[in-house]
Formats: sequence, structure tokens, C-alpha cells
Amino acid sequence: MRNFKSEKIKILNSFLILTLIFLGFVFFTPNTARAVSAGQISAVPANPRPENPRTTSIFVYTAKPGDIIKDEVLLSNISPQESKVNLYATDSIPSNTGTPSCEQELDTRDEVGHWINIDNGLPFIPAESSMRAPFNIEIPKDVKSGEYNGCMILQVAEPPTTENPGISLKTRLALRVVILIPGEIHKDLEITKVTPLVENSRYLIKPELENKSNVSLDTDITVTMKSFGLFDYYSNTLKTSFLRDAKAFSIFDFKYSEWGGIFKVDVSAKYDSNPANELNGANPEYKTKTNTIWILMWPDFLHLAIMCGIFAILLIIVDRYFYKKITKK
Amino acid sequence: MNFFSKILKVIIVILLLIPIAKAVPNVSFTQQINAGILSVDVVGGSFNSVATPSFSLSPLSLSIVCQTATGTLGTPTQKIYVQNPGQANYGWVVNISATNGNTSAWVNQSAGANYDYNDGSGCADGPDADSIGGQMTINPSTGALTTGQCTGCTTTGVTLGSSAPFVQGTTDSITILTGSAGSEDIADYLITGIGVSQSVPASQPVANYKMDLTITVISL
Repeated sequence: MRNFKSEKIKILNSFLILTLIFLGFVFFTPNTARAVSAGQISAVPANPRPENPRTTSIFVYTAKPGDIIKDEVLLSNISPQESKVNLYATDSIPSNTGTPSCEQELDTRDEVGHWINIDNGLPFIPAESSMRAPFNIEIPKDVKSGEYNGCMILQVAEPPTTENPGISLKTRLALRVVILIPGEIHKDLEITKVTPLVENSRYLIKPELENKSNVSLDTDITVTMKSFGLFDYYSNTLKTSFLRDAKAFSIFDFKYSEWGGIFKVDVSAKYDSNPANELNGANPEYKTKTNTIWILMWPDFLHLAIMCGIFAILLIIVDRYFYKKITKK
Repeated sequence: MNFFSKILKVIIVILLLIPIAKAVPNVSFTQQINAGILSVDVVGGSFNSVATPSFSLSPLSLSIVCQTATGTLGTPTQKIYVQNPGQANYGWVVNISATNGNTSAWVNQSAGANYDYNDGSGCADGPDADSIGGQMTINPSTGALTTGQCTGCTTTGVTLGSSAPFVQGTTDSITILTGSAGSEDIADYLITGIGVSQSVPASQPVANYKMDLTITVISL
């Protein structure tokens, strides 16, 4: 006679043990295995201004010396677990291309990074939710007119990693903080050089620019190439931002012409020259600077051989034609 | 009899349910979709985040002359992954710089003889404040840029950077990738094969050296 009651108890016990093992596995696995990745936390301005759509993605302010700006950054965590993040401000520096970049947390803060005070720099963001992190910016009383750039950085607060030899990589998200101090604002941009390059089998046009302004400039750089100055061959526009006083460049990849040829390369840089306008302001007055070069592209061996062959055939035809004309006379 | 009573019960239940179903108001669902997260990460083959990403440069033997070690940033198991799901429509840039700032160096914890990553004079010690030589060059132009998980996205308006060495105080940050304001507003990208080379001064002691780099995506 089978004892069904004791079998039921055994099954229930096994189920209970398996459940406990599963729960233990879920809750006591080391954090690194369930770490929140960079793509799961975000930061955006919490109070964008409707009149400047740019303020949905970066912080843009116009302020007077001595002003105190109070604002918030909206932190979000889409992961199913609470995340500790590191929120800090740094000064901005130009990268090698002249576009905005950010100093590191350990670097000394002299400018905007120093002006920003964040209430809680190491907040916990609850799972699958958002929170506001307040900060204020104290503009120094002796600051000169012009634009000042900094960065609001969001980084997953990571436990110390093992000391591997070689290069360890970290990643972070930065939001630009742009502060315009009105007064004597001048906007000027020059195209200083246009160079054709071949770099690792990439065919490039490299316009070099100098932002001579005391503000950053959103710039539309357009490169057009015309075969023999007449026929459209390539056209592309890059819209990017160059920091004040920065020497900058952009890279345009174009397709190599196997048939070779002479090409007219026109480079234009369009920017808002209205000194009263803040970044992405409502009343732009566009100004365009241009520069032109001519480049000679040699055909590749196969196409050169084809061209030589066609030329030779044409020569023979012409030669025969005139030979026949002369012999008829 | 039993069968008929069951049928009767079912009919009564249905009759009772009809007015209830009629009384239920129209249910409308709302779904808000916010812009996604601009991010840069290091991911594996299935887009899973790599917990402690790192890479090594080619090993060198002790030499009485300056040498160059080379390596690759972005491999099939550690790809640089950039996502812009509608957060940075005015453009974005991915830069790389030293985590410990522009005064940091390759650290050798055993022997204590460090070497530089941003000396403008290459292997020799240049005019910067420290007294060590060495220089690292990042070459994004050797890299391969592809779209990520987004089907139908293109790399239009997104450009890999150009080769540049770190120079203290002048080039502390090097652009790897630029997303123009004209690039697709919602897209993701993978980068592999960025060349990294490091000039190592002559007679550098035998040891394992280490340094940290930080990749930053900045919304313009």
C-alpha cells in the first residue's frame, strides 16, 4: 500500500528546496553579474524651455555675472534594479577636431565645472523609474562676456575593478552645459585650409576651420565635388558644433573615381552670425564662408589601360581616315 | 433531468452576463514613449554589456631603442556600441581620453618606472611637467563602422575620426566618432578595429604596465 500523504510531503519539500535555491541564486549572485549597463541609465535636462528646443538635450543658459541658476537633471533607470550613479560636473575642452569634449573627474575644475554645485552627486536611482537631481550654477561676478562650456557627466558607479595589465575602458554620458554671458559677443569663422587625403584606403576631404568667436558655433559644413568643375560628383553636409577659439576640422569620405579626372572642390561653412542669439536661438542671421580647391585624381591601372586602348584605337581610326583621304587625292 | 438543469444554469449565467458586458465602458489604453538613452558602452556579440572591458597592446622586449606597441580598440568580443534613440538630435560626439587626467601615465606597480602617454616629443621627454617620455596615438580611420540592432538604419552623417596622438594640454581628447545633426535621429552603431599605438621609451624596465581610458559620448 503506497503512502500518498508522505509522497505529497516529499514533493512539496523538494519544490520548497528548489524555490529557495532559485531565490538564493537570484538575490545572492555577485553584483557584477547583474550590473546596470551604460545603456540603462540616462540624464536629460529636467526643465527644457519651449522657446529653445535644444534645451531638451543639453543645458543652455543666458546669465549675468553674479547670477545663480537653479535647475535639475532628470535621471532615469530602465533596468529592473536600483542603480547607484556618479553625477558630476567638469570643464569642457575641445577635442582634436574642435568639437566639445569633457575633462575627467580627477582634473582640476577652473571654469563651468567649478561653478556647478550638485546637491547629491552619488544618488541611487530606483529600478525602472526617474528622479530629479537639483544643482545650481554660481556665475562669478568678474566673468567676462562670451560663452562658457562645461559638462554634466553621468556614469554608473562601479566597484573597483581587478588590476588587469593593459588598458581598462570606462564609459560615460555627458550633457553640454552652455552659459552665455551677454555683452561684447563676436562671431567669426574662417576656413583656413582644405586638404585632400588618402588615409587607410579612405579618400578624404579635410576642411580645417578656426572659430575666432568668443562663443561656440553650430556650423553646417558642405563639401561639393564637380568633375571638371561642371558635373556633380559628390556632395555632403555635416552639421556640428565648434567650441570658442577652437581650431577645428571635419572629415568627408568620398568615393575614389577609377577613371580619374580633375575635380573642383567647394567647401562652405554656414553659421549663425547674430551676436544677440544664444545657441540655437530663434533669430539666426546666417553667414557663409567658402573655399575652393582643384584636385587631380589619377585613374587606377585597369581604367588607365582601357583609356590608353580606346585612345590608341581612335588614333588608328583617324590615321586610317586621313591616310585614305591623302591616297585618294 | 440533470442535463436540462445544467443547460438552464448556463443560459441563466449568459443572460446575467449580457447586461454586465453592456455596462462595461470602452477601455482606452494610453502609452507614452519617451526618447531613449544616448549612450556609449562596450558590448559582446549579442549586445550584452562587457563587465570589465579592457584590451592589451602587443608585448615588447626590453630594448635600448624606442619601440612601438600596437593594439586594437574594438574587437568582435568588445565592440564600441553607440546608441542614440532620439535623445541627441542636434548631433553627438564620441571621444576618448585618459581616465586619470592629462597628467597620468602608464603605471608600473612593481618597478615604479612609469612612462607617458601624451608627451609631444614621442619617446623622448618633452616640455610637459613630468620627466618621462612616451606617446599614444589613436587611429579611428582604421576602424569599421556599422549599424547595430536597428534594421533599416544607415551610417549617413556619421563619421569616424582621424589619426591623432595625445599631447598634454593640446590634445587631451580624441574624437572617435561624430554624429552630425543630419545623421539619423534614432539609430545605433558599432565600431571595431580602431588602431592604437604607443611609443615606449628606450630601456623601459621589464614589468606589466597599466592605464585607464574613458570613452565619453557627449550630446551637442
